[in-house]
Amino acid sequence: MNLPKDVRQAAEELGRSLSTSDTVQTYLAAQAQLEADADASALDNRFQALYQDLLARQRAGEDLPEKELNEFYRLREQVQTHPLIVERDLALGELKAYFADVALELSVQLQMDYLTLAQAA
Amino acid sequence: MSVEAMTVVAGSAQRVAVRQSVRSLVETLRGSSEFQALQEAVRAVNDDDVAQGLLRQIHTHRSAFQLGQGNQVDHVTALRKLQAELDERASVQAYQQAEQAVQTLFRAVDTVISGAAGVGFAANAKRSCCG
Repeated sequence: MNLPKDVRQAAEELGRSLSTSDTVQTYLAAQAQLEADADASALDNRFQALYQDLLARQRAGEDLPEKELNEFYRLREQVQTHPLIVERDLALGELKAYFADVALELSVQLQMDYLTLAQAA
Repeated sequence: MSVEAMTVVAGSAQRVAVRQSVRSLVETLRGSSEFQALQEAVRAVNDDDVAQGLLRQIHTHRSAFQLGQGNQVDHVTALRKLQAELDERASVQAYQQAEQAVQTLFRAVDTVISGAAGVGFAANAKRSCCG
């Protein structure tokens, strides 16, 4: 969709304001540090992929094999104790809380639920 | 001024800038044709007595169903019929179209915010619950 110029400019301005905040900068730095470490990045990607796969299969009604569940628990233990992943997850938690506050402010002022309307079904 | 105090001031200035940006965005969105059309559609549904009557009946059946009152199958049958009647109303159809247009607008806005922020905005705007 082609946004009207004033709407596009206002949206860009909000995005730029968010990008300069300490919260976003801290998250981006933590994510970059994580991605710079090949082992940590591979562990994070492997865990995320397995989590999404198991979640989808569980939702589809599959009885998940114990072997795969044990692998999930083993990876989760590693992820939850890896300093770079822990740091990134903490920063992501802060970022989500901050964005939730900003989105709430948008919704209150618009008198509409911005998040429901802005996200694909 | 101490480094700590300067950090606090800088953080506060960032939050003020974000609040001002939110206000500007809200102003431009409220002035958009999509937003105006949705507000008009809401007014039309509120003024549609038949639609309001159907909504009241839907609410009554849904509450009874949730509370386990009466025959559950009857409630489901009635809800389907009432919803179909409601969906036939011109005011409701206009509302659904207007809401769709605002969804398209907001999704495009979100893409721009996310691009400028360097990280997805709406997708991340939820508090983590369980670590």
